[in-house]
Amino acid sequence: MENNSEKSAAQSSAAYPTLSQLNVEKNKQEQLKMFWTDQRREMENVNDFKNNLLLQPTRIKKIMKTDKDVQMIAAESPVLLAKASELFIQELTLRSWLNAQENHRRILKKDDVTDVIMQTDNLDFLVDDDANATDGSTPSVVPFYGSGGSNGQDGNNLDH
Amino acid sequence: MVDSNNILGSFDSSEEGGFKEHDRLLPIANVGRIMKHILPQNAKISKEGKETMQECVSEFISFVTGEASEKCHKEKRKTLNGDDICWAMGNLGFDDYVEPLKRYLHRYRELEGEKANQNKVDIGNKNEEREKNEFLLGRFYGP
Repeated sequence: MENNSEKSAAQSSAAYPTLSQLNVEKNKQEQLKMFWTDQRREMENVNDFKNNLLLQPTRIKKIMKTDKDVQMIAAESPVLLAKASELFIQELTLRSWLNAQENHRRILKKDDVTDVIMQTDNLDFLVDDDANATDGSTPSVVPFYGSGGSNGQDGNNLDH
Repeated sequence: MVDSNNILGSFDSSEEGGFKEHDRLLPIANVGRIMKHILPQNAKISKEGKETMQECVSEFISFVTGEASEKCHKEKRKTLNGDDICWAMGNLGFDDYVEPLKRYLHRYRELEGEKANQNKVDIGNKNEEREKNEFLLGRFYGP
C-alpha cells in the first residue's frame, strides 16, 4: 500500500492558508488599495477631457447604443464610461498580474484573467452559464465549465 | 422636463444602419496600452490575454449601461446621464469606482460648463444685437 500520508497531509493543509499564502493575500490587498488611492488622486488633477482619453467616447457610445432600450445619451456619459472602462481594465489587469506572479510567471495569460473572474464576485456578469458557444460568438467571456487554471496546463484539460 | 444643457450633442436613437461586429470591441491597441500602463516594465501580455480583456470591457460597458438605462426608464427619463452611470456602478458592486468617477464627473461638468457658458455669452451677445435691430425695425414697419 502506498504511503499517502505526505500527500494527504498536503491536501488537508490546503484547507488552512499557510503563512506565505496569507502574506501573498495581504500584499495583493495592499496593491489594490494603492491602486485606488492613486486613481482618486488622479481624478483631482484632470484638466483635459478631450486629448488625454485612452478610449474614444465615440466607440463607447456605439457599444452603449447596442442596447435597444437606451434612448438619449448625455454627452458626459460616454466620457465617464470611457474613464470607468479604463479603471476596469487597469484593476482587472492588476489582479490578473498578481495571479500570474503567484504562478511564477511574468507573462499575463488568458487563464490569469479567467481565474480572477471566477474568484471575484462582482465579475459574475462575465461568466456564461450557458456554454453553447458553437458559433464562436460567446455572449460572455468565461464558459461555465471554467478555464483549466493558470498552472501552465492547457485550458481545456480538466483532468487535474 | 427639459434636460440640462449638458446635452451638447444630439445623441438620439436614430443610429445609422449596419452595426459592424468589430465596433462591438474597443481597439486592441488601446486596450493593450492601458494594460501595460499598470504593469511593471518587464511584464508581458499574451495576445489571448489582450483579446480576453477586450471582450471583458465591452461586456462591462453593456452591463453598466443596461443598469443605468433601466433606472432612467423607471424614473421616466429619456436621457442617460453621468449620475445614472455612477449609481449603476455602485448598484452592481463596483463600489471602489464610485468616488473617483463622481470626482471625474464633477470636474468634467465644471470644465465643460465653463466652456458652454462662454459660448452662450458669445452667442447671447450676438443674439441680443440681432434682436435689438429687429425690434427697432419692427417698430417702424410692424404688422
